Amino acid sequence: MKRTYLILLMLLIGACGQSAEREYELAPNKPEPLSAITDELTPSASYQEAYAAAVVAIDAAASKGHAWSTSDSLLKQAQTAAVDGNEERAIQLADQARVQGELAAQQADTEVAAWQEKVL
Amino acid sequence: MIKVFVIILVATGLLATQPVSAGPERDLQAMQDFYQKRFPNVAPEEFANGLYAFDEGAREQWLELEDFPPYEIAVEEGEGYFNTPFANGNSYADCFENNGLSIKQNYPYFDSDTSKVVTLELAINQCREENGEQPLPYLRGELTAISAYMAYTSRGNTINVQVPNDNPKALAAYEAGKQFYYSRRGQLNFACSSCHVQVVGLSLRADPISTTVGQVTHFPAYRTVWGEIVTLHRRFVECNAQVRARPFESQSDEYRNLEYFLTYMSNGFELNGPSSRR
Ligand code: HEC
Repeated sequence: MKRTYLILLMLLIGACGQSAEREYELAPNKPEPLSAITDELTPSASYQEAYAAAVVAIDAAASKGHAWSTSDSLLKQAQTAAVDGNEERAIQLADQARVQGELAAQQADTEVAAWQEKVL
Repeated sequence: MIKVFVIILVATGLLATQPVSAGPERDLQAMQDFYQKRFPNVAPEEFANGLYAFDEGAREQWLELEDFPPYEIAVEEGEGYFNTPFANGNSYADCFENNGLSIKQNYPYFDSDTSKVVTLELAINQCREENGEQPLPYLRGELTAISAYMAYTSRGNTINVQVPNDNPKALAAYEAGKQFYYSRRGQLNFACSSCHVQVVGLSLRADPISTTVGQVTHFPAYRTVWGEIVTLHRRFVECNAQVRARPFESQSDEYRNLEYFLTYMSNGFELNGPSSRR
């Protein structure tokens, strides 16, 4: 019973993710994705440092009204990894969250003027 | 000569500080023209039916559903709550014009005293607090039911949101809502307009995307997928989350300003809520 429930839940989460993806695929004149090139990042020295920097970056984006849910969830995953004692993974996830926070703040800065181009 | 020069300077200075748009009326006209041109075969009043203006099959299912409206229970419950006096003996009717009946077409409005946009849901909670009651949670339950009942009593009334010309703060709130609508958000980098203007009417996933005009006429709406009646702000949350943006709180300044702009874009439409949507 519990397993069925879990599978259903996973399918549901998968479907939500997919539909947004699909909408993105289908949209004409679609905007370019802002993808984080996190693989090439030099990892932060410690989890504490990575986490603190991520929080600063995400809060900066949020104060501009542009926080991403994806960076919130990366940061949560980082916390879980840290609690599990997986420092390397925790650093990687927190670094990714930070980069997304920076991209989100960039998006906010761009949109300060760019939104007007779309007005009918 | 110098005087003429000064006048020219002042005049160009004024022009330079004009906002991009010449105001809400122009925006509404441009929006209406856009959809009319895009869908010459759809009667403009059909846009109040959202995606059902574009999808025959879905429309038939929807009309069948409306024979036994799933929001009816919420309306009845809402009526009950609405008519139950507060501990101090007053009731909701005492807080609103016309005893709270048939008034939704005037919401949201800009309150000059607080310099804030007041939505119907906010006003319901303000009424409670003025009468010594706890505010209700915004996303579901009692407050949504009361809102559904008040919407029901306002059916057929024409939406008439005002952005007073003589109040720059009201215009600023409207402009903030408009900016929100056209600003890209989230990891997917979409604005509301990326879907509801750019790809409007197209079937993404199973559902064609509804127009901006006529989009708010029928809230609160019963969502079949969720099995409950939801407010407009809950829909905002969902549309923000879809593009992987962190949603705002219900009744936040951001969402109230957005509602102000979006409802203005439905001026002239008849209220037809509550309604059902899949
Ligand atoms: C990724 C595409 C997408 C984006 C971006 C998007 N929406 Fe939506 N929206 C949808 C879809 C799909 C639906 C469901 C089909 C429909 O009713 O249009 C919907 C439905 C709605 C509805 C309900 C329509 C009805 O008839 O019940 C409202 C209101 C709405 N969106 C407002 C917004 C606002 C405001 C924004 C920006 C914060 C936004 N949407 C951004 C895709 C999007």
